[in-house]
Amino acid sequence: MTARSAARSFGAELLPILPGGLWLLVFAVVPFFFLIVMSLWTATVFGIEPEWTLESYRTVFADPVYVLIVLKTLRISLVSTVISLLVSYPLAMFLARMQGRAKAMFLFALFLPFWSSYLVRSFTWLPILGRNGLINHALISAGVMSAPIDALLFDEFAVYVGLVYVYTLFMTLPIYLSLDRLDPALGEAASDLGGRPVQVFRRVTLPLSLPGVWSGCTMVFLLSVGAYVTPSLLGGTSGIMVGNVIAGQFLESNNWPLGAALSVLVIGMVIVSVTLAGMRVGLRQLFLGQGR
Amino acid sequence: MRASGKLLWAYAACFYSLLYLPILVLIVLSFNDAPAIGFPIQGLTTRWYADALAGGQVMQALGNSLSIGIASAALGTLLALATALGLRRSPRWRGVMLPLLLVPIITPGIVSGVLMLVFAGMIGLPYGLWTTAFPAHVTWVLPFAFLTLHPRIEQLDRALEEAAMDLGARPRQVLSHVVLPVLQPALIATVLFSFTVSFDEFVRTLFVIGGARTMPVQLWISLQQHAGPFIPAMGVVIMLISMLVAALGFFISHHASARSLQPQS
Amino acid sequence: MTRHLLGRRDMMLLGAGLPLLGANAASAQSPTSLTVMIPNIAVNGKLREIAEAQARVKIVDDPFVSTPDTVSKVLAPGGTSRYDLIMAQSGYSRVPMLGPKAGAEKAAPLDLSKIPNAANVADLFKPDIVSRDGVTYGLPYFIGYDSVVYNADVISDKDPYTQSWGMIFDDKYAGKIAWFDTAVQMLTAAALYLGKTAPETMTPDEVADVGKFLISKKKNVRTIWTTFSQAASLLSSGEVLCAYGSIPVRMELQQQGKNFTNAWPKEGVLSFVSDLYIPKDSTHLDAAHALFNTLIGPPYVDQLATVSGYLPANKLAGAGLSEEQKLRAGFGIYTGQTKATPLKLPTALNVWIETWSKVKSA
Repeated sequence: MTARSAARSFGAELLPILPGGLWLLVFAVVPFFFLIVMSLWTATVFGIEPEWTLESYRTVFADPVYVLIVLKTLRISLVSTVISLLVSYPLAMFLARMQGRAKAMFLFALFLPFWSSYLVRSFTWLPILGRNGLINHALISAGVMSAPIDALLFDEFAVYVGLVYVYTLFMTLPIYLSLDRLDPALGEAASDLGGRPVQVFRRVTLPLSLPGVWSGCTMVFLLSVGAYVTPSLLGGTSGIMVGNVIAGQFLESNNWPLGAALSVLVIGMVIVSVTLAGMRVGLRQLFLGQGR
Repeated sequence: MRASGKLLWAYAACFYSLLYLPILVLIVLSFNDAPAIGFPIQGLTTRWYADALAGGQVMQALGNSLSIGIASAALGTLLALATALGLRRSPRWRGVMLPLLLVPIITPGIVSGVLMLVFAGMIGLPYGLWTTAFPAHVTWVLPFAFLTLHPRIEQLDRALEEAAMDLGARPRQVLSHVVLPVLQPALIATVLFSFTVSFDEFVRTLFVIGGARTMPVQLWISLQQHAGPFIPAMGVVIMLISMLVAALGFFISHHASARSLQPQS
Repeated sequence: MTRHLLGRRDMMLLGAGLPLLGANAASAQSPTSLTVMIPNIAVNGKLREIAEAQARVKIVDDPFVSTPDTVSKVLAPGGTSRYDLIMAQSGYSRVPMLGPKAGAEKAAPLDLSKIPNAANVADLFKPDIVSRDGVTYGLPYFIGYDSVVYNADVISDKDPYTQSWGMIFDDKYAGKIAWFDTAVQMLTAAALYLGKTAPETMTPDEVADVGKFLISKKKNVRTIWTTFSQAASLLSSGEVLCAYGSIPVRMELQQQGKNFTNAWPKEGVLSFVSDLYIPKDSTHLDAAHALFNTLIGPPYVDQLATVSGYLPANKLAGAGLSEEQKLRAGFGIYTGQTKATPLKLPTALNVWIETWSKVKSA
């Protein structure tokens, strides 16, 4: 390859990713670096002063409370990602097997509830799970119980319900799209060759759907880590997550550097935990497409 | 195979029932004559619909949400498509692009909002639906569009393109005649998904929207400062209208694609 | 902050100029558009009509989130030129809005000749006027107060127990209590209940003790609410019987015919005065002054209390109400008949917020 054609192919390579890359550079990366800079500035009653200090980080690490909240957030996010995956995978398989008009209908029906607005959707769980809510009402009138169960709402359970519910679409869609392309004949051929359904699933379906699974898990996990409305609405006194604590720094005191330092802590811990998990399971390889 | 098919049908039935339970509750509550959102049912009324639609603010906010949602879904999907196709051809850029793509999701919403506010202040950008909220939406939508499209694009059969190339098709023809038609269902799903992501966004928008309102911002202000018995009715109205718009979009794209695919099939 | 943060004044001027261009073109006949950050409830519906008609302006309201958020937005780069009128609690906003020294104010000096209604500020709220060297920068707008809101169908308002903040801490209504998710308000209420006289001056150790008290009482609490609609929904559905409550919540429930009322705790309701400011670089000073004057005078002030439950910080407020109605609405605070403790900015705010985070995550 001559130098010129190498340069040309380099340009041709770069061209399609350039618009997206530049957009992210301006609107995501530059602000992200400013976040780090802000976390190192001084908070005063008169606003932020650009004087370098580690004070915010000292506050973050002086008391284990912040690190503990981040750990708890990561745990809740991990659990809700796993639940979400278990709930969504079979549905993605179902959708992938549908054909024609029925498929379009079921897909549309999957989207529809998500257009009622996230805020409204989260709010409706209160009257469903509450003390005088739908479920308690149904159980009591059916004679299953005599007094309402309080444990349905305002604890971690309710947070899981809320998170899994609001983010189902984010998990189902990428898995469905990666399964959709699978040739049903492939599965049938495998089972004709004597593969039991479980084996077919493990050897054929699952490996091919892994990129979609990875996408879905990434979205649900990261969205859960940043969740703010759901835990504060449904979590009661024990469901608090780090998003609520960060919000306090911006909405209740104007301590932007501390809020920024907390965000850097969360992002750092997310990167570390994802890297660790990636090393164990080989996620990187999965995402990069079967070690191509 | 058949037994597992039945099992999947049963599962889907359960899934959709649970998915629609809150929507059903929402519809019931929208007619409940009670001073705040919730049970018990204290009589039926349609006044919350009148309240929700009063003053036209809701319709205006809904219009804003729909237009910014459609615009950012279109641009976000386009950028994501180009990026995913580009990365497929030159995998060595993945190491740079993948972390970049995760930055917007990983940054907590309030922080993103504040950063955008500072950014707009520094370059002297006035707040508004298109000046500040739109870039914020595209930035937020882009990673989701990418993560939805990427697995599908990675799985594209290279043999298909190679065969087309062997038959003398030029890269552009391969793209428009082979790659895009194959991707079309995934693209429609991604546009719908991106629209949904934008349609729900409120924390980032809240900081830089200025005097304009998107639907979630309007809802949030109502929730924040009022008892809001009319909120379920608002939710129902929003859902109905977005359903109509999406169904229309679905229909148009379906027709258009059916027509464009005809010569080949 | 702006100056340091940027070191690029020309950019800022450009930023200020852009909206100016748009406004000038439009201002020939149509009323001036003013960008305000004031709670929606005070500039909505009938109140907005009154204000717009009298001041001959068009109100564009940016989302109001909280006082600290409003102040941060004004202090942010370019913030002083983005708004024409803002509202912020005087206890919190006085120091940042005045800035570290003369000349560093974030608010425009008020031309009192254009705000004749300034003379109506009630004596009680004169300390909340924000000024430096004889120049006025902020004037009291309305007062709000927080108390315990409870279901009077179940809890008799004759019960002397209702006259204390203890309602939301003690075991009596265990499991039927809701708190409010703000550090300053919750810790102040608890500190008052524990007998502290000046909660805002507590040392970090004292704050920690109040935090421990709250943690020990957390078992009695059903949930911690964040939005008014959440509080209203919790109370109205019977999920809780009493809650840390702000007045708009009680007002809306009562207006819908529900039997809710608020306690007059012997430790004092938490009262806070909100001031209006015109940010320093507002480009519509005349119109902003006109709107300012309208919002602190009749007929606007007469409507404010009935519509929002907030009480105008104004001598003319409450005209036309009977003594009993006045007491029920909270006007007793003006005369000392109702005990109120002004909510003040804690000296160690960060410690308070950290303590509250611990309470929530305990």
